[in-house]
Amino acid sequence: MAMTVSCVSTIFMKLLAETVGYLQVYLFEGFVLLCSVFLTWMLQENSGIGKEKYFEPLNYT
Amino acid sequence: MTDYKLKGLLTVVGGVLLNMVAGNLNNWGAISPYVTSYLASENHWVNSSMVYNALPYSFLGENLGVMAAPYLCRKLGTRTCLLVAGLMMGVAYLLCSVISSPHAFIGCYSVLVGVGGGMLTITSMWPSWDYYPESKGMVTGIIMGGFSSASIVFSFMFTWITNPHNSPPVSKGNDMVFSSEVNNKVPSAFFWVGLVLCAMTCVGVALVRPVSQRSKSESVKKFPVTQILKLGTFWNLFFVTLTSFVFWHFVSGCYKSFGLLYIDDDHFLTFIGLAANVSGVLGRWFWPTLLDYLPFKVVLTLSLSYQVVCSGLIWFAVGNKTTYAVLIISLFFATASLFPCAAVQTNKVFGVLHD
Repeated sequence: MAMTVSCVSTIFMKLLAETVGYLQVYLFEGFVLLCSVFLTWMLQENSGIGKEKYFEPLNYT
Repeated sequence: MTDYKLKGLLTVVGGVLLNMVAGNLNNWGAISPYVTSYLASENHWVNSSMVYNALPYSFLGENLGVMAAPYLCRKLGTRTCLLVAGLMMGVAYLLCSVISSPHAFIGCYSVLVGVGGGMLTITSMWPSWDYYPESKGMVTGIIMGGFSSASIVFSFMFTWITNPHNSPPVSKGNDMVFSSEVNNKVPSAFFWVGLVLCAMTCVGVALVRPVSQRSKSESVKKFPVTQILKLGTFWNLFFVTLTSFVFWHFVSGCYKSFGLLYIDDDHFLTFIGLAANVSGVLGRWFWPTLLDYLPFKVVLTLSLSYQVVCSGLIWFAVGNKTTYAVLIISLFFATASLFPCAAVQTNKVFGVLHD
């Protein structure tokens, strides 16, 4: 669902690129990516999830 | 080779073929400049923003397809579901070859390709998982290779049919449009790609041999949605996925149309797309492997940091063919981490609730 919202949001990015320019949109997306880095670190802190294998679900008890 | 092993092998090959059909979901960025030019030649109000919208709309359709697939598999059987899904994608291309109304064109493509692709992607893996329950990761990687390689094969095929002589586009407002020679070949490109997709679907479905029908008891466990929505970790994961995918979705959808604004070489941009998709296939192997050795946040931070650098440089890189090629190819490699990272984290968050 998050991926779909992300993809739909690019409709506005494309419109924005044609009105204010691609450079501004790319810089804004860079800022969004920085937010994503912050959220990633927050997620790991919150969930306490560390080093596990891709297809091996954690054995939570 | 025993009969069981042979059936397993054929099922994996069938899964790869069907995922190649589904992979056309990601091909819009490569073909949209031709579609924009073709539709704009008969409808002057059409622009690239409108045509670009088919990509997010088809992703919405993909979600519907993914959700409908388990139900349809139980009702119709896995092979029938796969056949319907693949033919939906093929028929979408065939219909697009005769539709000239822009809204009908975008609607037909988005719904049929989106829903069909969503149904195919996940359903085509289930039969192979039943044959190789201990090697789901490897089997998934092989089948997903088909998905990634679709952009390589079909973007090249589309360009080869529509613009064999590398006719340069000319500027029209914010967009670039091709000559009538190229525009006139767009319907036949859709027709031939549609035919190939239908043929690949039939061959793929013929190869797939499910071990047994998935019974209701095997189906996905009931999941307490209201409980999930109350979890802070869920929303954290939601926004990590949302924010990490925006740049990738935008660039993959318009790297070619953006490049055409500054690089007067259609074939060169097509080859960039081919090379970028090859690097994406390698990335889909590399990043999940790295997740076996490094924590999730380190892996995703590495990938996202590189994407931040690219977002700042892409505007300047497009001024030169080589720098744009290097940036796009490496970016496709870096963004190949996003789906595995999202999958692994979702698995972990959901694992908390299951146990």
